[in-house]
Amino acid sequence: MSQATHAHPNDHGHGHGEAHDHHGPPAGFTRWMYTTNHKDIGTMYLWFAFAMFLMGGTMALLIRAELFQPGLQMLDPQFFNSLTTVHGLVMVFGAIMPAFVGFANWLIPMQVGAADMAFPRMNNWSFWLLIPAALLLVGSFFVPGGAAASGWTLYPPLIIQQGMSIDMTILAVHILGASSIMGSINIITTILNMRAPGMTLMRMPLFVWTWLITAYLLIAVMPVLAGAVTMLLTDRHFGTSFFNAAGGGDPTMFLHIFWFFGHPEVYIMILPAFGIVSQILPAFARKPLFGYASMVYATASIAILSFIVWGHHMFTVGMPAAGNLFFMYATILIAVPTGVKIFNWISTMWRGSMTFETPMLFAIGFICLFTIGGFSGLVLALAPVDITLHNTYYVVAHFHYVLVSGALFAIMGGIYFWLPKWTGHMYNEGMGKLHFWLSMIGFNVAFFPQHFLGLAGMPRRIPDYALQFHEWNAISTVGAFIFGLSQILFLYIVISTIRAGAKAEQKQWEGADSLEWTHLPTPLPYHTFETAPVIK
Amino acid sequence: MDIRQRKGAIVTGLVLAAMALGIYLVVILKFAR
Repeated sequence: MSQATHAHPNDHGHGHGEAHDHHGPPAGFTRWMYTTNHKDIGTMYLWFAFAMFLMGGTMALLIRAELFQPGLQMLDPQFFNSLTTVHGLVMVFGAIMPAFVGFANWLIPMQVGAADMAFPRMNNWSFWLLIPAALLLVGSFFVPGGAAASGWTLYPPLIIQQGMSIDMTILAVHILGASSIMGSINIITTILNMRAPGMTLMRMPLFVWTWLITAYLLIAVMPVLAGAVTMLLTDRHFGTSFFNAAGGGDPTMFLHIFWFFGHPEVYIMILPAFGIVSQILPAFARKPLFGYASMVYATASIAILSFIVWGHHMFTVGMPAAGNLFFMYATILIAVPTGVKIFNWISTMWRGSMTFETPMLFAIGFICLFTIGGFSGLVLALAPVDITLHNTYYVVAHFHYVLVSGALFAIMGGIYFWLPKWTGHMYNEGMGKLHFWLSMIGFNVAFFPQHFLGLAGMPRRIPDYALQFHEWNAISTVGAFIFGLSQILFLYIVISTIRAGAKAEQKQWEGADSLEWTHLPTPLPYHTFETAPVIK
Repeated sequence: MDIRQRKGAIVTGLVLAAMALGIYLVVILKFAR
């Protein structure tokens, strides 16, 4: 959207920073502990997500190191299962989701012309809840019996039988859910109630739209997960039998409840990525986003459809044929609004004056690789095919194409895109491009062979495998280490940008047109839009 | 944030919180019968 260019030039935030310097941040740790400033909280979310990303990434590299060759090399099988479980939980709840909330905190108030989030104190609380949750998750490795080893889906009956680490995981999931719900309430309220005059819903940048829809998804499904894990807890300690067959319960019911949360969760992790890519592409194609309204409706359609496809995770569990057919067709239907988005992004680039700075490379990488993940999703959506591929490495390849080259590439592109605005410093373009290409090559070497492994029948979540899977596993491990180690370069680039990057301009990217670029100086003052801009 | 915005924000926030709590209770109570 180009609405920001129509704003009155005098109604902007210039000068507010200078006029309110005495409202700047306090020094030291208390700045971060007590902050209610959306920028500070956004920064903390992003650093937290990066720390968890490195932690989850280390677990992934341990997994890949074990799988480098057949036989048990270095890890106890129980510990291996704990690694796959906590890797999933840490990456989903600790890295991807908090990173997007970090973007939301930084950008939504500025993009709608608000001074801050609607409930700043609750915003602080949402963030600080993450710390005990992360400590519980990671600390569960050190209790008797080791960390949860059931897979991130926490399926009973295994989850009912394991030790106290499960209780720690359940508590962590509850806390993370509460944090997400509070964050979502803040985001929806900010967008609905605090937009600047003239900032109508259909003028909002697409990132704001995608987060509005994502926040509704979160409020709808996080309580469902909370309900499911509460029932697990009462089954474990309070004598109930929700999921315990011995007491008349039904373990399959957990799968239904979990995936009623789990599938929208996938879209919670990808819709904000769509929003980020929809901001980056027009900026570097120097054209307005193609089909803005259809992008909004496609996002809403994906969100609605995400509620009626959970059964595709359960084709092999046993369901009436009509159920299989319903979930199969409903899942395939999601390709329609997703296709609308892909074609809109391609049309945005079509005949644009494109340049290929690092954010644009990540955005284009996102489109290419997310589309591969989408196609393998269509393959898995076919019930008869899924019966063969279920629980194989094909599934692992599929969701890593969606969540790493999808969500994570968008996050990295977004970091490079907004880093100049956030820090006032420009990153090193050559280093950024090197990081992109190392990530791109490492990622594909790591995960593309996993399609072949899955098609050949290699099951997921095993520390050892048959000899015929050796070559592709060895290649996959090499790729994983290239990808993983290249993230150290990313950390170096971010830190060197903050400390010693060249001075960035107010509108670093020629084609960027949302309010933070057109109305606010670089570096951003601590408080922005204390007087709302008027959007004409 | 002016007073109208503040009132609107509080109402919106409470409605959303009630939605979340309601969904949580419905999930548990549905299966606890």
